[in-house]
Amino acid sequence: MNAELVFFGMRVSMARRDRRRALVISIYVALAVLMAALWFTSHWHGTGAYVFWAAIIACRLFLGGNYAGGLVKQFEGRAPRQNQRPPSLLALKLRIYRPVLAADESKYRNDEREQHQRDWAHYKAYQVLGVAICILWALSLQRIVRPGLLDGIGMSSDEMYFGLLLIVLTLFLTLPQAILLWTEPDMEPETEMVA
Amino acid sequence: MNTQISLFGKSISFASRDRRRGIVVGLYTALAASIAGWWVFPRVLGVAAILALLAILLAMTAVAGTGAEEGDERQAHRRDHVFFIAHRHLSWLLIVVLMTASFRSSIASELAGPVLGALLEQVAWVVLFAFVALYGTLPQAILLWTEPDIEEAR
Repeated sequence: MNAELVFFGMRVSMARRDRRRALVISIYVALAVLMAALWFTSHWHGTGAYVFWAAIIACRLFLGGNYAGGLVKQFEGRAPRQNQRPPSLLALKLRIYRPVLAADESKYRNDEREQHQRDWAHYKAYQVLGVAICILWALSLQRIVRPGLLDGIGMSSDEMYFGLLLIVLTLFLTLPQAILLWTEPDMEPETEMVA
Repeated sequence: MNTQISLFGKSISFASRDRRRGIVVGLYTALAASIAGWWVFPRVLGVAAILALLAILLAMTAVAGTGAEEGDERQAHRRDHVFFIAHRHLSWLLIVVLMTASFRSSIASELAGPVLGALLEQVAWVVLFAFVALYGTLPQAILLWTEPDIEEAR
């Protein structure tokens, strides 16, 4: 896991656990606000995918794991693609161009301890998501067996099912990284480690 | 992982990897058949498909365990790793579940006629069912498939 987050050119130390926990809470609050806003504007009709893309961006910029970038190293530990073309002007202007060299394995490849941590975080996330999927399954069965059961709460069964599906997908994409960021103890800042 | 289980008084050994792989293939074939049956006769075979899923879940759990059992360090690492692999694969299937649900709610109601609407509804159901079935069984299946012969390991 990286101890430092580079965000639009700014370097923010994430060595302390309480900072990482604050970041995790902020991301989930932002995603919840986005979902609520989309519900009030469109009932997620045609806009539900925005939540998915927001989760992808959160992974890309902050959490990491699924993509290069963010605090958690890429889970698969693949060597970064070396592009011969010059970086785009937009990436340079936004200060988000941060190439990782294939030779610098420690930047992208998980060591044995990190692999164990990664697997354990996925195991824990799998348990939590299992509960959410049981609720999803029960809700989908209810839509067939008793379609009008939830009419009184101002949200149709279809909308509730789709909203829950969005939540499950968001958790699927982000929860293992969030568990890692939440549970890892305080780290030494990278500069001190180099010294 | 259990190397043998008792079924109606008969002891069945699962020490051989070939046998475990045979079990996995057999159970998933049965699951695919029950889903296909459900697709063709949704009213008649819906309950049968759910019962088949529960039976497969029980069979997998009986042989490979639930994942919550106490074990040594190697077993814990193996368990965590298969859950990691299962999570990675299932995230793709979950995206398909979301897409089919999205098609059903948008295309089915506004653009499609009743026939296509019913078809999309059925597709969404089958994909969700397959996802739930795989979510409950895939880690155990990976464990059964990949663990070497028990005798050889010893």
